[in-house]
Amino acid sequence: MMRVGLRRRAVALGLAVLLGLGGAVESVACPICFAFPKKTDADFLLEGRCVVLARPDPQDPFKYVPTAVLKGAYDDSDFDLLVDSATRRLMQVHADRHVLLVQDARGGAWQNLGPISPEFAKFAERLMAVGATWHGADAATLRWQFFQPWFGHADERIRTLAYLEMGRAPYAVVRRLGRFVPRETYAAILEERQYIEWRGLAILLLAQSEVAADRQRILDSFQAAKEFGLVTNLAAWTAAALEIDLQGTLDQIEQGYFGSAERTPNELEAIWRALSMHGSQGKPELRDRIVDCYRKLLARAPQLAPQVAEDLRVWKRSELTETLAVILQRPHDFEFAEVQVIQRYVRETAAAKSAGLAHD
Amino acid sequence: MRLRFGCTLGVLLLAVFASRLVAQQRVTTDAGTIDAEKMKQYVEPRPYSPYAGRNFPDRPLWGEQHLHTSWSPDAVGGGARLGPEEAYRFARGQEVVSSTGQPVRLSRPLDWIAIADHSDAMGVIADVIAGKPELMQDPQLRKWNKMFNAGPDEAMAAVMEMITAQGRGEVPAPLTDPNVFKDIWRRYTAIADQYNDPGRFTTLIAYEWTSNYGGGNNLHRNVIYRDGADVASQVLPLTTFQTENPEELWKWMEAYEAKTGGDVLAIPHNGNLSNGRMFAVETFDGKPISKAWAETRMKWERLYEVTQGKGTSEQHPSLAANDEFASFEIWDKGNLNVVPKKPGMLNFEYAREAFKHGLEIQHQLGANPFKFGLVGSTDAHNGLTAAEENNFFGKFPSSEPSPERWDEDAFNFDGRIIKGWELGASGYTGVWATENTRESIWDAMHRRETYATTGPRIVVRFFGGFDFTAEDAESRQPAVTGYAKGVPMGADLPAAPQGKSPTFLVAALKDGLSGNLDRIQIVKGWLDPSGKAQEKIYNVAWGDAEQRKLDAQGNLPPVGNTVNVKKATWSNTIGAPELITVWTDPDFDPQTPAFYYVRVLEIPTPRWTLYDAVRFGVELGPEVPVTIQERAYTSPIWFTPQGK
Repeated sequence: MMRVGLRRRAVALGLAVLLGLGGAVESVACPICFAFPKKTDADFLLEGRCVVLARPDPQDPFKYVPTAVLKGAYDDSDFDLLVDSATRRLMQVHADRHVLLVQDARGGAWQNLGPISPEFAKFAERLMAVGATWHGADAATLRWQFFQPWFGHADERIRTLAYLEMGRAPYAVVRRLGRFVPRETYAAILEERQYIEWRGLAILLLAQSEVAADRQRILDSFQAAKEFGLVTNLAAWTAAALEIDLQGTLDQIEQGYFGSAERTPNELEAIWRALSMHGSQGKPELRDRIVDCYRKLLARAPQLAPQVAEDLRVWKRSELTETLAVILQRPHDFEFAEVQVIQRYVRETAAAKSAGLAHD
Repeated sequence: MRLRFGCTLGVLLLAVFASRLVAQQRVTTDAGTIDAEKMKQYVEPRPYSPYAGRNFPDRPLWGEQHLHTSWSPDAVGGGARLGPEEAYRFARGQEVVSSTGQPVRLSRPLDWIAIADHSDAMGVIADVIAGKPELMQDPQLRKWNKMFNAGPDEAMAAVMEMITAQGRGEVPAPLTDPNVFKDIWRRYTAIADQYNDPGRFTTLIAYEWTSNYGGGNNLHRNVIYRDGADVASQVLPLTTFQTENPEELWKWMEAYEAKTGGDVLAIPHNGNLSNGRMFAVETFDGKPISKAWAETRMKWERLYEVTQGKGTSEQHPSLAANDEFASFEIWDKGNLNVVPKKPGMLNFEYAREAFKHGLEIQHQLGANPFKFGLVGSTDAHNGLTAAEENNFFGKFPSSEPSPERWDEDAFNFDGRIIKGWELGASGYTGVWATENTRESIWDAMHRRETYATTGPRIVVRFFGGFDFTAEDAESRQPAVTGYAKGVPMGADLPAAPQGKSPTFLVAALKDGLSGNLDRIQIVKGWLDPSGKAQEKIYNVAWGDAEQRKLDAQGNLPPVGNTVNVKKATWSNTIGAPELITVWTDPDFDPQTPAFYYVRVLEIPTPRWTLYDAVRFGVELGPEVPVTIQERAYTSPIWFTPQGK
């Protein structure tokens, strides 16, 4: 049985999982397709203990010297980083460029985030100043709210960072984002084949395009995914297709995925992600239909029971209590925490019934 | 048969000695007085033709030993659709259509080539794409076949699924089935045989063993066969599914030769991407090296690929403050995963440092593990060995000519980016082989009589001995004297006669299609009294000698630059079309081991980025280099004091 840990479940409602491969490529360096980064520049800047701007040392052009401290206190520690040849050349021709060096949270090793423009330096300062106030339950919301205005910025690096950060926003936010960003800010990434793993957000934004060809591309891509058994970006193409052709897409999911014994666990997990996202933050009015889909999904992919149970518990839907209880009674290899998720759902729906509380 | 140098040298020495006798009539030596009339009976009269009876290499054979085709999984995943057959046809001068649909042809045919597809999953993806019936029994492979043939996005998705499957250990069984590999290897070697045309165009059977030990530390080696398919196909290539340890590769080579009676050698490449591991002075698992280890490495790794598309690894500028030309096409951000490089790693990545460490190890252990010659290659992954600046077809199909390629991301690992303009249009290998056959070329490689260029076909001769005189540089046929009085690149100097310093006859002739020559340099490395290796670069011959003079430190003014950046043209009005000289080591110590190799520099010419800018009408960023001083690097000549 395919394992899907709860740690992943914790972020399942966020969009980030859609941007990844939905599963398992771990740090495979590939010159053909560039892996989706696990950490963004913002992660490094916000987590770092000290952040400095640096340039090559005029006395030793292969070593960095700090030119400004943007965060924390620089302790004169050796960066132990080589000024590589391309960066050295860049610094020679751009007197206003710097590299961004970040010391890890423990005050240990330094990381080179690479050359940046003066615009990015200012942006980084602002990000760190504002980001220092992001705490508690609102932190994630404040974070994507900060990045939204930078989406599509002229500076490539700021633009890329905003893209990655907005990919972490809830789907409810993403599905309104298209109104604020020009099509060209996300359409380009759909043409860069090496960045195929980065396309998730762009695909969801494409679903908000008024261009007929874009909408057709989504339907065609979902069709292609179904025909060829594609997993890459399947969740995003499915979610996008649900946006523009709800009933038709649901019909195809039921027939093409739940009605076929040949679908792989990865495909079915991707389909669940798309349905879950819509049920939670996209189109809650679809829940009746989605719950029906979940029933069929569990028949094909009982390993997704924890994820389904958690959705249903949040949505306060009791229809699949018995189905999930039966799955739990059968031999399985769920982790302890996954069993608890299913049991919680079964317990809460049972309690609600006995208390006479109506579930949807 | 490998060239027997002792015999050749003896005949030539006799001939040279006899010719002197004819002029002098009587010579008195330690052996007594020799009369010219008496000597005539022992020496065949030289024929009128100076070329008749010649049995030494008289022209470099051009080729490369590191080209990937669609039979490499990463190449085909990146869109390469040219297989070995198209690659051979292109290398021998035929026009082909590239994977991105562009017609392309070499300016001149190559003489030989070794296609070195990755042994890991060699050919099998190409077979999946082609829908080979045996593979289509597997549902996953059937699915990937459909995806590869559906469109570029679907093909890329298939590549990603394959990577995922490999990461999970869920690779469909046929992909790792030895019988499938056997069939592919048999076909791969048979195609090489089919295109092998002795005397005209040689195909060396080869594969790349691609160890990325430790997460992207490049320990890759190309294995080059002397043998034909009948021998090479008897043993399956080593893969990194079996081991990532180069020492295991040496064992595999030993076993191959023992089983088949064949011959193989290994060529490491991209030490610059090994993060300090390629020329580490310890064993693979971190133990001190032994004399036996050093001898084993020297036995199998006769050559090193010093220049290719992912950087030139002769010397890093931070390690050679006095080398004004070291900063050349350097890739030093990190390893293959762009895991950042720390300064100390550089000491164990570059050829010159390895040569120096080799002297130190020789001094300590009595054997030199880094006694290798130099070659250049493209490492292109599109089946196109196109290393000329004005005909550069990139590394992958994604970097084939387009207005955007200079600014696109060639690599992006977790935000650590290498831009397209950083790719180098490099390089080729000149082999001093006596004839254009597998045996002759491989033998020349084995004796390290090779040199690397960054693309142009510069002809370089380099001989070392103790008796070269300035007069020897006046000849139009330096090799006659070179072989008669000395040893060629890749060899060892003989014992130093009392009171004599080594002399070197070095000559270079420009590529007819490329720039004039700026200068010839000899790079010397030696051990100081503390046993630490030192290096020095000598400018020994240069163009525009009337205007350019050495200063007190031996430095030479720059040759100038005639490149027209608006048109991507240049004029050969500076530099020289050919250079030749005899140079004597002014600091020779017969008690000190040393190496000497030659670096020949061209005058500045347009880099491929400038051709792109002009042809596509794009404006490059100011950080993008638009001119280049192409160059050649010969294999060294070593001197080892007697008894050391």
